[in-house]
Amino acid sequence: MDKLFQSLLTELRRGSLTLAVLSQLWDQKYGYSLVQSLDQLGISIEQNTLYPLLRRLEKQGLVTSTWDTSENRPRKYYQLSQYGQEVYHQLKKEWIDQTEKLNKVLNKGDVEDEFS
Amino acid sequence: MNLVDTYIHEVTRRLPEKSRNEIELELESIIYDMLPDEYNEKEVESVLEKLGDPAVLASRYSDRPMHLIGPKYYDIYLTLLKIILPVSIIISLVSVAAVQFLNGEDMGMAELTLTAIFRETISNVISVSVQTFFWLTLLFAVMERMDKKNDGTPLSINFRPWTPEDLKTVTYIPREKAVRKMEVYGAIIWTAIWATIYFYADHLLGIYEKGENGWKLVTPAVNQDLLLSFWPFVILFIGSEIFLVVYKLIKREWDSKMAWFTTIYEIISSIVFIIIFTRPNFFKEDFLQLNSEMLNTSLSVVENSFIWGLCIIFILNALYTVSDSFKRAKIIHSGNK
Repeated sequence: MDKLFQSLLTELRRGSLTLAVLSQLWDQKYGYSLVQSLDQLGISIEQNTLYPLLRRLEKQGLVTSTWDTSENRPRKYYQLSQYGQEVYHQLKKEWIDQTEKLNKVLNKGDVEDEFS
Repeated sequence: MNLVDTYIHEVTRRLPEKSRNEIELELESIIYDMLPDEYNEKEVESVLEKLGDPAVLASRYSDRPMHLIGPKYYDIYLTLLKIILPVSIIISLVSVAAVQFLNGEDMGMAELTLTAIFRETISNVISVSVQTFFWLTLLFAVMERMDKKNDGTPLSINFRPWTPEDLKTVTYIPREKAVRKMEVYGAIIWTAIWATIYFYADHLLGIYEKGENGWKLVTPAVNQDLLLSFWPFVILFIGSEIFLVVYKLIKREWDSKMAWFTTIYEIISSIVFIIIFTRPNFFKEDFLQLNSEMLNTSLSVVENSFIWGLCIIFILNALYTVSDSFKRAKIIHSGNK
């Protein structure tokens, strides 16, 4: 039961992770600072998922990256590209739309639950 | 080398050459970001534990699949395996039989025993199965990796994604009318068995006695020269049986042509075999002698009961086969209108 629940939960979250990551990249951030800012917002993402995800987003042209070598340790900064911003807006709209619909369905389900 | 470097190496060695440097640098900066300015080995370990198994991290960085054959090819792979495996086994069996037959004389017939044939056949089937399985799997594993447009959509048997059009090429066959797999394989095995017995009857049929080296045939039952004098018929029968099996494999359902072919075949083969059995001196004198002593009856009674026993078995078998094939061919195709 617990194992099944975990796998369902992972599946449920998977789609929203990309959106969450994109939302944090209006200002440029480096890998670990992104983890921290997501963490503060209560969104936990496994690091071995996040870093490869960032790299994939970069390949897909949704984010751009720059190496900052001015400090004592070089850091790779990520930021939304123009294209990434457009995609983010569309995805966000879809997400709100979907959750509204799903909430309606779930609330209706709850009412029926009480009567059964 | 410290733990961090080792960890990074463990990740990057699994990645393609060209992306190694970049990921190496990034991982290094990530890991040191997570560590405080002053750190000890325990802290390093806890950070690396958060990043998890290097193999998993590498697989997420890499575009290459972490499976041998993925969802796109798996179904078609299984379908092809189910077709190709039995076919290659059949081909290997036929070729083993042919080689045995052609080499029979040189090999020295005396060495040929049931266990030798059995061992040869089994080892052949196993090696052919393993070979077929290996090469087909390798082919699909390579295809999986060469395919740049692999989106995980399964392919149907024509190597294209499924459309409703595909249904039109599927023939729906009612269960009773379908040629059963067991029936086809059974027929092949049966042909192989009786053909072997026919050609080596004097080495296989008869009275066995237990000697020092296990069971040994001491008194052959039948006259091999007489049997072999009918060889053109027997070759024809083997040919017909193989033809019927192949036809069944292609058609996959019983039809009236198959039933008629079976009928003609059963009639002719029964007649020929009854002629063979009723020849004088079909059974060897010694064999009959021994039996009549054991059963305490006269020689002619033993001979006649053997002959008629065989004939009745053949006729009953032929009748059953013919009626069964007509029964199954006649079933109405409910799927077609």
